[in-house]
Amino acid sequence: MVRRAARRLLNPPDALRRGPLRAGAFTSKLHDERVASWLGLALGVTFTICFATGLLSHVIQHPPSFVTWPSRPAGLYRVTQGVHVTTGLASIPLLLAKLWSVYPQFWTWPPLRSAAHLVERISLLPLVGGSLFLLFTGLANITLWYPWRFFFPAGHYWAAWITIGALVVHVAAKWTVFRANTTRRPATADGSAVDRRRFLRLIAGVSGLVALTTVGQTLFPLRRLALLAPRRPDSGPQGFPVNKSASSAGVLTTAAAPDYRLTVDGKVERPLSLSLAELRALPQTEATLPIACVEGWSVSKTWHGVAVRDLLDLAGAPAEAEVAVSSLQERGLYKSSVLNRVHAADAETLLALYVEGEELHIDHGYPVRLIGPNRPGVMQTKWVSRLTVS
Amino acid sequence: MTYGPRFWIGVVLGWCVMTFGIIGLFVEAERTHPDQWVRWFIGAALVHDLLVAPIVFLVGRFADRWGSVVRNGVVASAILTLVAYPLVRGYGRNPMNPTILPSNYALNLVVVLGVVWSVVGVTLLVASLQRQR
Repeated sequence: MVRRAARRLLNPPDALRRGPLRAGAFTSKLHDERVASWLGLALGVTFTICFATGLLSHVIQHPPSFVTWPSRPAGLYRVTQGVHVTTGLASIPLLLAKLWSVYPQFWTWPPLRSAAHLVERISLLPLVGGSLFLLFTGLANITLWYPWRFFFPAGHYWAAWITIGALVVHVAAKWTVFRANTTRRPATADGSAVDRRRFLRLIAGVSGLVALTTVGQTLFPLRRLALLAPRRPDSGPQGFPVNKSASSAGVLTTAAAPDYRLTVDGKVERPLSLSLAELRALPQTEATLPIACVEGWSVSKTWHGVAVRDLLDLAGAPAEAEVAVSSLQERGLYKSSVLNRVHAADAETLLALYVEGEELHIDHGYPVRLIGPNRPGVMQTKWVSRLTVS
Repeated sequence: MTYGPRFWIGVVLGWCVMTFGIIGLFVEAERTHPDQWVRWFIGAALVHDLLVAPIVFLVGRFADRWGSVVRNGVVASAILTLVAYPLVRGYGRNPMNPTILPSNYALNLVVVLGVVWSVVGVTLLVASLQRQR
């Protein structure tokens, strides 16, 4: 009974073979294993880069106990996250071309050839759905567009694991075909080889154009080419962008209050409570550091302020202290961040009072913001009100 | 096409990784809203396979008449427009933060497409000059 049903399933009557299921329904010679293989290789590389840099960003923001993210090199996170976003954007043309090229396979006849074929096809749903999901949600997120209810980082993160898993299955299924089509030249040299090369060059060109018109949001010398970048690294109060403004954070009154005080407490010998004037009177440190947003833009600025290390010494904090930095912002996931022992001890981890010689704009964190080397922007807490040492 | 042991090793490995992702999704349900998430995840595949792709193939039926250079220009323009769409529509704009989407993206897209079609024009011109020779 089961066997007969299975046989029926594997040999469906030809009468059902209509529309896109017909032989020769798709005429372009670019629906071709070679095209699919080369695009697959490109996507394999870009998705691996995005997965690795994305995982890194996740680990920095949610560090397991055995990971201590270093504070040097200062611009490392700026590079990994710039690469993540630019590579993701450049993947969009690649993915669309790949899906177009293999689309006739969606209507392959018979739809199922064996149990293995069934497993392969089922595994394509998370691959196709996941790839489109990742690139679409990523693109929407960098423009701060959220047409869904889930929290973007969590949704994007778990989708990445599912997609990479599906990619493993896909690579295993296609390895033989891929090798045959990328290591050997075609037996017959005809016009279709020229067509294939032209198509691949076109897609590579579009991919490059997307990268070129967006990467200027993090690569300052290319900022004038950043026509399709959601941020310009030279626009905003004091000449650079803001992710959360003071009004969105609800700190317009508290941050501007004249009785502002910074508290340093926790595991310290002498808890501190300092006014803005007292902070300004402390020894000042200068550091040129990038502010590097998880959304992929970054810009380097010269900051002045009190080194966290100096404040910890003043308060008599133990060596190897970890510090929780809290904001005046009362709600939101990013109202505080943690300085691990390496970041807390780095001489250039500052509570900045000035940027480029000017008092901080309130949208950049007036009166006091955290700025440290090699940290995601969301962990450069603004409107700092308290350091808690542990 | 045959499926060897390499395929089945990949299946086991890949589905282990996928299972990890699915478990994570549900463990973090408070943030991931799995019902919504699934709709977007599966929806992306369905919208592409059953709506976008058929439209592209229908339009593609006319594309043969355009010649390969113009067709490439259309393909490039379509992809670039798709990428720029959320910027042009400005969904993420926030009156409290003008540094989000600071540019005139409709104009910028026109500039980028202008570059694309300049390349198309030059290519056609060069091709026709070569033919005349």
